[in-house]
Amino acid sequence: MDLLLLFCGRRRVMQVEGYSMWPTLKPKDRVIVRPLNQHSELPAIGSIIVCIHPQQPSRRVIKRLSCVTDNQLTILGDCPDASTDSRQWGRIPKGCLIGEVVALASTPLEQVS
Amino acid sequence: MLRSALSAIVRSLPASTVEAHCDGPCGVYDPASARVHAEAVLAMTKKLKALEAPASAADHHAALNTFARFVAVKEDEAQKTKNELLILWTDYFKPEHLATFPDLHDTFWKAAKLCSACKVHIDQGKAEELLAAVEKIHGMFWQSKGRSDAWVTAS
Repeated sequence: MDLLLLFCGRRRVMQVEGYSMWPTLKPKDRVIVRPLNQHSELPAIGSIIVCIHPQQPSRRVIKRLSCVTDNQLTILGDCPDASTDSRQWGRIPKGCLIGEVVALASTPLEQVS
Repeated sequence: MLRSALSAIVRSLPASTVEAHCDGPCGVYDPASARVHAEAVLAMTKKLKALEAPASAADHHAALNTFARFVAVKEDEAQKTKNELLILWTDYFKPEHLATFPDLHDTFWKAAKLCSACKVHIDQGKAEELLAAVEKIHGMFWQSKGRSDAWVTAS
């Protein structure tokens, strides 16, 4: 279904860089992202989401949604030692939310450099 | 097999990058390190200015030794201050921060120059200027993180 929506332009494919979501996601994994807008219902707590970097708007980051308070999101990496997230940034505005990961196309470990 | 085929299709599609890493190798930055070293520069400068001439020839070598040690520590602490400032300037702060802090480069450049001035001279005024510059950078740093941590000195 998501693949069909992908070809309809209703889903986006993104490629992961870095280890902050290890072991759930690893570098070169592909994720299918359902875009969200200001009016969309927020993803469930525990979902993996894609956001605008709160301090560097040109960058996109992928983290897990940990908590929602007053339209502010607390996002954390699954691998704290390799992650910069709400522990450094604090809560980020809901407006930074780009989408929710709905599917994963994993890359074989031997292809991860 | 179907799953594998679908994964292969997804992997063959063009994809934008989404980052799952930290901002720095460790992600830990704090202007407190620069502040501690800058405070040490000021303290050593004050100690050097307070040194008195030896009362006798017998005290001469001891006085020279103390003077040399104080200067060496001042020199070392000023260089450490500069190193800490350069880490913040070149690793932590990003081009996006210039929109909020248009004088960011000038502030760091002048602070780095003050580190050099504190090495070259025994100048309490320069050491106090350096500490003030570090305080300004402290404010910029925490503002960039959406925080307003108080400026607290050790001495």
